[in-house]
Amino acid sequence: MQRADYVICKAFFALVTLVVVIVFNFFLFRILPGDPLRALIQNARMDKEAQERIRTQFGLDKVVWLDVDALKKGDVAGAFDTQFTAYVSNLLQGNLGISFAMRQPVSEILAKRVWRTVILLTAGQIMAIVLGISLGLLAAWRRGTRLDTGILLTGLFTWSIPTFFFGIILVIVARGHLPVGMMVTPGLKPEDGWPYWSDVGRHLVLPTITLGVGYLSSYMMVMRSSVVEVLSEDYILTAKAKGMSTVQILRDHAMKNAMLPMITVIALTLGYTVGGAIQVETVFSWPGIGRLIYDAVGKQDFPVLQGTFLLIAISVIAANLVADLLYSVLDPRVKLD
Amino acid sequence: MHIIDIWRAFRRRPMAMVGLFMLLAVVFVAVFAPWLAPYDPHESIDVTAADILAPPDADHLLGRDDAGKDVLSLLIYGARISLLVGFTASFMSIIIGTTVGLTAGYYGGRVGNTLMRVTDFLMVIPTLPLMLVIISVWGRGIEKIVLVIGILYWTYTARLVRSQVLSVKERKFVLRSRAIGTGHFRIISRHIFPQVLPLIIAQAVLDISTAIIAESSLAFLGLGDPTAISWGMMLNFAFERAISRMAWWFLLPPGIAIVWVSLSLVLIGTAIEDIVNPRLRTHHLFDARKMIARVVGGGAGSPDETLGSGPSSGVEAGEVAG
Amino acid sequence: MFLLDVRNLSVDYMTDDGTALHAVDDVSFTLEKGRSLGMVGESGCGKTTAMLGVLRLLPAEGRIVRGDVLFEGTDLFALSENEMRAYRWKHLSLVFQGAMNALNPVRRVGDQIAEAIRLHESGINIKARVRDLLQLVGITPDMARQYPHQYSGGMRQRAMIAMALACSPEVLIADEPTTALDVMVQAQILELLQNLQREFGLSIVLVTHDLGVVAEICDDVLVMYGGKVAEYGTVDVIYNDPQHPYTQRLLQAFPDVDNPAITLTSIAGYPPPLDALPPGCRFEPRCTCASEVCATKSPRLIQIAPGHFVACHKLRSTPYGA
Repeated sequence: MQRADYVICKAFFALVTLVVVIVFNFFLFRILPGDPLRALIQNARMDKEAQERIRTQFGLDKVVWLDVDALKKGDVAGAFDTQFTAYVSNLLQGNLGISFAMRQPVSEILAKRVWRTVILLTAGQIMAIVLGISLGLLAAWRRGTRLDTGILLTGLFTWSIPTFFFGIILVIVARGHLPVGMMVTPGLKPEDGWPYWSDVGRHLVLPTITLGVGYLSSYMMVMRSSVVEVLSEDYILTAKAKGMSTVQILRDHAMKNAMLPMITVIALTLGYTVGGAIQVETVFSWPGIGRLIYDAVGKQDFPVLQGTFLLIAISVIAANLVADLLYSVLDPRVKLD
Repeated sequence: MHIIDIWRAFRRRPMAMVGLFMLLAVVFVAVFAPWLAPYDPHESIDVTAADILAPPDADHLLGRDDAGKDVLSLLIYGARISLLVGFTASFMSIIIGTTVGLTAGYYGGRVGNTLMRVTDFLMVIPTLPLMLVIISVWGRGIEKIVLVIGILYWTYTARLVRSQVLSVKERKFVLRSRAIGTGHFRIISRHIFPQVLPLIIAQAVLDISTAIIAESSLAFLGLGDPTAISWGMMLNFAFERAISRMAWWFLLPPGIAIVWVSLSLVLIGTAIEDIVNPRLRTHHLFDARKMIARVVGGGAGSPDETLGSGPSSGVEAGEVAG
Repeated sequence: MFLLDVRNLSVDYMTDDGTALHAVDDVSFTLEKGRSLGMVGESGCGKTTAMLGVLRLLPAEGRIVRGDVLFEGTDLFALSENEMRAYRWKHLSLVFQGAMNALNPVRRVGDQIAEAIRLHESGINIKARVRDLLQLVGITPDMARQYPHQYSGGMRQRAMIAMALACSPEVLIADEPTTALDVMVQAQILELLQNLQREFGLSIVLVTHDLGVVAEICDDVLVMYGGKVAEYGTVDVIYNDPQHPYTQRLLQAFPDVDNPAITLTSIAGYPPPLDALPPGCRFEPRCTCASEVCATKSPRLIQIAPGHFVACHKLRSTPYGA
């Protein structure tokens, strides 16, 4: 029963965060000086009917969030008949608005492009986690040696390179050897089967390296300090006294204990993960939602910006929740209260 | 720890001093920009087609950018923007973070919990997308960028300060102060804050680096301030217009400059952090060959020093003479 | 042949600036099958270090600079690390003080005991053995599935003992097994240890500062001070006829159940810091009967009666072998 309470508590917090994000998202775009939606409506090239449609859909003829006059008249239902309510009800129906630039529903655009970003993020994270953990473990085990110093310095150095700049360097260096733009060579389609996927794979190499190296350093440094902490604990001495070899101790005692903080770190850096993806997709013209944001910023396509931000925020909140729950399952010491 | 002690320990670390010199070099360039830069980037110039993205030559050591301007001068003046943004944004986030952390840690209870909830909330939201959205809506401008970075990056400091305060709060000298009725503000400022300060300094230095990278990312993605050409903005121009021409003289130097500054700050910051918060941990899993350092053959020494059969037997096994 | 023969063991700790701290200096003792030894002294006198040295389990800064340790005739220090591993736990096992973190908190207790068995034995029913061991120390076998934090302090200590016995070693080294436990639990542990001695002929090396516990369990006593042996003999002799001033003061500081009215005296001063050892006898600064020679010359360990050894200058002129 304790676990159920814990889950509910964490889920509740995630929900509250989500609500705040939604409200914030709404108001941010409404306090614009020179509301772009109105600018869109007043676009002379749009015919009257289209203007009316957009007007009603977004409730632009209504009050922003609470109709005080209606409330004073005792019309409670009318008081809430506002832009904000329209926004929320649209949201719940999956309607994120229409893109200014592409004239398509934002949700459709997102649906088409999301999976590309997911592929990229997954590949990059796997590389970062695997390399980060291995190097961190190695550095901690050989603490104080030149190998340790070397690994640490490499970590600090990669931390100092902005992700996008590292991408640019790779583009300059690898041009001609590996594809540096887009996801797939024009002409190939998913129905082509293996040739398509292997081509995607080749296009995935540089962006993945860029992303992977970017997160590598934080994972590596956390793993290192986590292992260092673990290796100073009494139970490691017990294991040694029992006659276990170094490799056995690392494998059976150190790893599991040291990995627990890693879950927390991965969850915490999820937010930065997305930031990295935006940069990488921009540099490599990878057609995911990161590149979408970049284009939307350039074209001031606010519905797309708003919708994409919401999608990202929801994903990160959900991922954090999953990480929290996972941690509570894996660490038997966690008090479920 | 006193500043003097920190400085002395700092001086003994080669990596930290390297970082310091690297940083001082950049500060020097930023301060003396008008004298160091061969051209004034704000001046309008007449350009011909050949001048656009011209490769380096004697007049322009780093070539020219997409508008024909001297890259080296832009680079030098860009140092001012980056450092300005870095220091100001970091300062802001440190102030906010420290205040939140001190309050949450010292007062605890409902106030503390609420503050920590807010901190948690901000930590979850992905920062770059949020910054992109805010700046897109609000408009460009260097002050806006500084403000946005400052408002979003204080969370780590807050947590750090809070946990430090929690541990310092229970120490004897604080409890004594409270027992004699010292006011809250006095306790915080005279007892708790000095303990927390060294860690804050370390974090502040690291935050400057974070801020500079954040600004450069925003600028690269197109939201920089056109009136204040930072290194990130140079990279934005370079990427959008120079990448097909492989104009490395425009593409690489601004990025290298960013890495230079960040690395210097990171070296300094991690060194301070290490000095102030040393984790003196022993280590059970090391190469044990060094453990036995006895001289070979020099085992038990001369026979008359052995104990014979020990206490139990009571046998007259050779007395141990003095 | 002795079960364990420690000869002239000296252990140093290397500091950052290269100086060596002499934590254990010329310690010798023997252990016979079926007999138990108590190592007594204040905290920091080197008793734990000595025993870690015997098993070659010193931390990274530790160096065995002199001595031999013979287990049933085999020089443990001459073995390779691989060979040494075969001796650990199978013949000499260890129970740490404060078993709070001596067990891995994220693994089940039963698993950790099973691990010890698997390392040294094969072909036996591990699960059954684990259950037997837990039962032996008075823990319900079902508790094997629990985690260490679900055990009480006393239970954890008993679980550690169970684990230490997993491979039926000849020697059990127990470092402060009853410190930090309440009196009732202490009594249980002591009773358990006595049972083990009786039933299995287990030799226990009990490292402690608690003289009462030593009197119950041990046959011989080694009194250490400042890293050196002060006195060594049977329990009878040490408790009834102590010769070293330190031993005498230790016993005076201990409440006597037959004479509860006597005022307890503590020994003024502190043990010597390892980086500033006195040039002569290490106890001299606190000794009430010190003479001139004590401040300049370190006393050797002399056998003053069959099986009774003391390191003190005032006993140089005893008739026994003077």
